[in-house]
Amino acid sequence: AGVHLGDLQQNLAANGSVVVSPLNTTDAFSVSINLSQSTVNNCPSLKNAESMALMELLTRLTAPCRYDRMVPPVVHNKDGEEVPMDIYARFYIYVMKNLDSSDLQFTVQGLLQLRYLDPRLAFSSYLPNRRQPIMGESELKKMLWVPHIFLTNEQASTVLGTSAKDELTSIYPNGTVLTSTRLQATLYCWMNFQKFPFDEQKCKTTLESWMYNTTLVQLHWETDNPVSFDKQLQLTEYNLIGSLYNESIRVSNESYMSHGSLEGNYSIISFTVLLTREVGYYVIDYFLPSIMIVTISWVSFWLQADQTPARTTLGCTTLLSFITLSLSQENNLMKVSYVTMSEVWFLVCTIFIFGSLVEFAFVNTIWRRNNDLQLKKRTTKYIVKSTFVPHLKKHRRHGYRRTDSTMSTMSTTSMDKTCGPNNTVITIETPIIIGGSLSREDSAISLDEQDETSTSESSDSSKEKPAQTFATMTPKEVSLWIDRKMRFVFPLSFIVFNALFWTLVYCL
Amino acid sequence: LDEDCPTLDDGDSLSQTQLLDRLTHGCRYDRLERPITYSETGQRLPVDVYMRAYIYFMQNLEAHDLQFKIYALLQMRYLDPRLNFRNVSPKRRQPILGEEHLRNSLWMPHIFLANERDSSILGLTEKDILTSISPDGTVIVSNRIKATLYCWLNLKKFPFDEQHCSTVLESWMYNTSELVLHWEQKRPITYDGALHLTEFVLQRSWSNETVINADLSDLRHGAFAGNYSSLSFTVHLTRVVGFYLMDYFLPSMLIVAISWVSFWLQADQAPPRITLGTSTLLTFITLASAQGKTLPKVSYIKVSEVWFLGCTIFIFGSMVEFAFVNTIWRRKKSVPVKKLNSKHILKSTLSPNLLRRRSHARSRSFSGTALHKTADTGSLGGAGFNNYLTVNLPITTIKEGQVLDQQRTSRVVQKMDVNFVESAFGSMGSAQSTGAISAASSSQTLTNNNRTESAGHQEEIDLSGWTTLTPQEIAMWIDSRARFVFPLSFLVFNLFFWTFVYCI
Repeated sequence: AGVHLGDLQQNLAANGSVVVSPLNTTDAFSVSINLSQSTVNNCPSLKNAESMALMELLTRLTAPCRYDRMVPPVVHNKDGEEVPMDIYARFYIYVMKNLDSSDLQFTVQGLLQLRYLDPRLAFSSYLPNRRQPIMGESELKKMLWVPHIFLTNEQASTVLGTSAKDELTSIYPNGTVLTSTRLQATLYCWMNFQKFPFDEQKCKTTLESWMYNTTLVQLHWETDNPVSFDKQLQLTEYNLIGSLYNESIRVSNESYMSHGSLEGNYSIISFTVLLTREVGYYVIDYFLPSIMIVTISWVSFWLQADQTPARTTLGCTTLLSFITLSLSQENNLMKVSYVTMSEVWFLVCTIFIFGSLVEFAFVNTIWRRNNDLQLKKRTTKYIVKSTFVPHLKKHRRHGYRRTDSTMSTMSTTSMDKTCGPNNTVITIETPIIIGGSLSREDSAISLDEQDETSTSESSDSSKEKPAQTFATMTPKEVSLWIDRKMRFVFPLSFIVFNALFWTLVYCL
Repeated sequence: LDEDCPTLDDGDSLSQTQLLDRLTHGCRYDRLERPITYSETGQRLPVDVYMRAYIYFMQNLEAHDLQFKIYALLQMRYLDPRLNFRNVSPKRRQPILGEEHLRNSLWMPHIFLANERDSSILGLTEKDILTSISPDGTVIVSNRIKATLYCWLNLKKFPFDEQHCSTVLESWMYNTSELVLHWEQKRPITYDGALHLTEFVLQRSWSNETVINADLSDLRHGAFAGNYSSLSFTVHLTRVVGFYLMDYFLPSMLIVAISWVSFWLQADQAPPRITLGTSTLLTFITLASAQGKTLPKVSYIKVSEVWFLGCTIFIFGSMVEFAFVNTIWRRKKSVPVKKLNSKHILKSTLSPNLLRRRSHARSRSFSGTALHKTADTGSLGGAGFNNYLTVNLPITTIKEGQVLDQQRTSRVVQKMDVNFVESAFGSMGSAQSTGAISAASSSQTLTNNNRTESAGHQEEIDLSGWTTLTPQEIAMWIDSRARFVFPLSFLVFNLFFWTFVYCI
């Protein structure tokens, strides 16, 4: 008995002093009771929870001996097996702004709500009469285990609030924890500008579990109203068509290491907003002015072919206006490598203005020709054919030039004699300019046929004249004819292009 | 054991937090001291830190301020024997997971980005930090970071350039005798499938391990000289040129082609040709300056600047060609050329002194007809500006017939009759015309035939074998040649340009 008491005394030395009565058995029993009480006193009791303050209750509920805030709660199903914990999320968006096409970002302000069941926090057995949840803010949240959700496409994110973070945490009697966070996130939206500015964008936001894979934590959307938008939501450049929400799994492995070195499947919830760009701004600021500028360039076809200052100014100024207009629109866009619809539009309009200037150069060159066209008929085929084959006339004119030089010299010599008769001759000769050209041609014929008789020549020339007069077009007439045709060809081509363009825009 | 040091004997019955608290207690774990391992010979070994990076996306490789943003997961792995809990808690086989709170209680190697502009750890309510301690003491820390890094772009071949952007990670505190950085051996750098680079295409990437020497002349590590371990990975990016072709190169080709419309106009049409040249140049400068705004000011010549300068020279050349042609048009002398080919025309056009000297010599040799030569020049100059030269041709023909009638055969008489008939058909005032021509012929008969004949004879001798071109004809000839020379030169310039772009 003495040895027993001695050993007991040594073992209990660390836990406090014990009064030892060597002779009485009742005293030894009392020592045993004291040991039990000291062990119980390490974990704060929850017996008289009714009289405790809420803070005291929470402190005891989350004491390290019964609650580890670094470990997620373990959930068991009816069969006693361990199942992953279900976290339900709900997102309410009340601001969506800065949906920018130049750096592919948009800003969302909303309320993110997470709901899950933590049996360790159930207090209905300790407080049977209390039915309201325990509510708190950031300080309460720091005492609990809270799932860590991150936004995969975030550029920056923060919790809103002025003096304290706007976080609300509720603990219900059965252990359900509800946390609400007012957050602002700048997210990336990977836009496709193929049909800009008639494009529709899908901006996807993905919320993902950061630490635990699907064996421990699974994310879900709430069944009723998972993603909703404020009625006063205003987007400046887009229209919100609708939204989708989805739950999926992301696999993290060696080649796709999105969660550190911890491989496995991670739960993902995502919502997608469907946006349509409002095209009114672009139609009024870019498409209508460009249609007007292209139409102005067609005024050139109503001017005469020799009005060169007016027509060149018209062509160049419309092109300068158009390049300025298209450059101002390019500043609204990210630099993408593929061809967008607006680029197709601006390039084709530039080609139309370019075409009107080229047509003017063509027409002006024809206007200044000296040879009439000999046509079989006054039809498009023969006119175009004769206009584009100047070689024969060039050779003929070349041969005629030398004779012209000789005659010019003789004319100079003749004017050397007297001044008075020279003036008289000039005045009288003005009405026969056309006659002069005719005589020139006939002089060539007579030079070639010097051995013919006089009577034969006269009859031949009189016969040829009616045929030539019937089928002759002057270069000015050809120019006017081409201009008149282009007044229909250019607008018609532009209308066809517009029909194709807007069909492509609205049917693809 | 000390009384203040909590025991680890019953590690299995402790919760995770309690176990960690005891493992990292100050009596057995100093978080300011690195883990120390010894080799077999008793030397202190440096800590090996293995790095791994996963790139979510890169963003905005901005040429304007030479920066790019990177969103990545950065992972560090090292062995800390002090955190080994296999012996004290044999039943616990899963690693201990924690977040920022756990990381704050551990020793952590300090790695910094050498070329960073700013960086931060992402996260909404808490920082996205994942800390894992394996039973054998291996610590794995993962951070989701956002970093804005400098990339020193070389824009010599802009917009056909390729860039190499590096991310450099260095040890901040310990040199290579204490801490050595390594990349993981298997897949150190991985990328998200959709990297979302809008202007560039990722060709490839590589990683590198080096040692950086820091001394008093290179203070990258404060005041501590020595060798520091450094890791870097480099991405090779190629710029996508579709945007620049559609928005800058094609429009500039069209604008240069429009400046060639000038060659189809007549040389004396000064207002439209000047408007054409200046407007195309203004449009082109507007287009070129719009592209220049997106780039920093660099001292070397870029490929896009070569292109814009070449196109400007072509538009400038068309203006200079107009000035040349307009000056020739307004000359007063016809130019005799031996043959109608390029060499002789250009030679005669560009050397007017010979012609003047020759004319001067001619006037000296025939002193008796000096006054007539002066009148001759004045009349010819006057005739060049109106259409009277054409009108005088019938008179020339008739007069020639009249003069030669007294000396030659009757064929000339037939020719005169034909001309009379043509004149009668061509105009309404045939009677007056005939009378006028007859009067002119009669008046010419009264003059001295001998003098007229000798003058004509001398003129004919001087101009035998030569063709005379008026200045207007030369101007038109130059314009028609420029219609082919300029497009051909532009084609050759494009050939050289695109060959240079794609071969060098």
